[in-house]
Amino acid sequence: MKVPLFVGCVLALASPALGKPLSGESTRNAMIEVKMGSYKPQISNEAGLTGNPYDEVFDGGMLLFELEFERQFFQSFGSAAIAFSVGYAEKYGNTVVSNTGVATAEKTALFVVPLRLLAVYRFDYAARELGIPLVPFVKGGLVYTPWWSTKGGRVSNLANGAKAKGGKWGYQGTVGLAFLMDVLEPRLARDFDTSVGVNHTYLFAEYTYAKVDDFGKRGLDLSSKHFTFGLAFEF
Amino acid sequence: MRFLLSAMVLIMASAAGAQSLTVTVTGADDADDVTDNVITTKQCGQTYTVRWQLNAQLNPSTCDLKVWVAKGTNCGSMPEDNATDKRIIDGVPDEWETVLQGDLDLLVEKDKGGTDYSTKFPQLTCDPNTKEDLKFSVCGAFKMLDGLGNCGSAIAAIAPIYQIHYDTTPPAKPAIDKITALDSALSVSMKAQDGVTDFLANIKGADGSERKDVSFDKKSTLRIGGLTNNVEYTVSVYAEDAVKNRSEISDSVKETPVQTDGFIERYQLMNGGETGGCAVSAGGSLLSLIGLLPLLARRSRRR
Repeated sequence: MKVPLFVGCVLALASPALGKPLSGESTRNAMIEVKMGSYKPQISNEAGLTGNPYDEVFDGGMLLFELEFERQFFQSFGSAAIAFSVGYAEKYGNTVVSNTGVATAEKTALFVVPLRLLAVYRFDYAARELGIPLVPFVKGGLVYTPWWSTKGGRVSNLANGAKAKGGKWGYQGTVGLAFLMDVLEPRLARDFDTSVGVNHTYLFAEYTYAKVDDFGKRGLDLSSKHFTFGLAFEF
Repeated sequence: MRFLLSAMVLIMASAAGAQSLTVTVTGADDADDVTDNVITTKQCGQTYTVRWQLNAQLNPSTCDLKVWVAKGTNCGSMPEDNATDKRIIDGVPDEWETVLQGDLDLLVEKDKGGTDYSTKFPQLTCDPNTKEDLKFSVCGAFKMLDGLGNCGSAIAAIAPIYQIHYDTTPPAKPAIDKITALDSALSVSMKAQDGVTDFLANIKGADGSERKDVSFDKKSTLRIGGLTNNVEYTVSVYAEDAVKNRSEISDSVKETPVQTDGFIERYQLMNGGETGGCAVSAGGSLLSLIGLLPLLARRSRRR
């Protein structure tokens, strides 16, 4: 019942006026996304690991913030772009006494900074030509995630004497759906374009599957399956 | 004639009544490590400079003006003409200025146990061994001509214009709020305390090791690293105020650092294979791809 109701609302919002670019609309060739979501690395996926240290030490996922910039190079039947994004997430937990397992007040933490280089395709034809304010999109590309782990505010040491920090390579695929917010207040959207050059504003949700384990090498597995939500500004 | 004299006295008296003296400090000192006009025991023997300004509604009936330094918060009476110490300004300015200002160099000299002042004046005395706060005032006053044309004995106005606090009072004895055993370290927390700007810790280990005056760097918690696990350490802390007066040392607390496991240690205990470091070769690939971004952007079609 809820899905037909949602579709009904979308069709009701669909406006013929949105079908064609508004006269005087500025050029658009880029997009900025600001988003956040829960990121939980799949540490336990590492081959040979006998437990799940992430779940033992930390409670739940990390809050991931990301900023993505897209440069469009194709605008016809939808738009295609190359995107670069940078994110940040951290998670704190308590250390435990080695031989007793009793929790101490000393903190331990894991930090990640996911960097992504992505190809993006947005099917915005329906939004621009038919006035349906929904834009499905897909993304895919490379991920590089610098990480480090601390104990007592200092970077921990690995058994080999190296510092507990590094970077992990991987790849990802993302699917999402964006809602064109211009339909809620077309005049305001047009003013936003004429005053600051933002053609369209979207509210979106996306699902990402990322395999970030240095392409199968042994070590910390920072792969994830996660949702993010955010705002996008096309200009 | 008697009437004329009486009239002159009344006129002069009313003029005297209209006189006023207000004094302000327009600038701070420039001595090292001096804040809020507080002199510490460490400044004994140094010169301490304040900038003062005196606003006086003077007129031709003003016959004497003095600005001087007094010990304490009471300016006392106007110094005698033949007094040679503690005087800054003596007499009436050549012109009837209404604003007088200048820099005052106060030599904070160690107490010599008497009135053995050097030729430089004004001087304050301080005794590093005195556990007593001393205050000094810079005062101003002037006299008026009386009806007979003599410089009157009555002081028309007197006001303390500046106070310097010679602070020797240490902060109260602190108490360690919390001590936490960490891996090869201890964390010591103190409660904030009025007038305290920093805490310093002394650490003594059962193995004979000792560290003194480890600063909290003006924070409330100190992490003392580089300790040996399973060795008991005795920690005591004292407080310091802004002028480095030190409190009595706190009661000591004992704690023993222990080996702890963080995320990475737990991971390695579970046979984790991470060796750290970055995959440099792949990094070059990503940078190359990022380099393509502007090229692709140029090809973008604008609508």
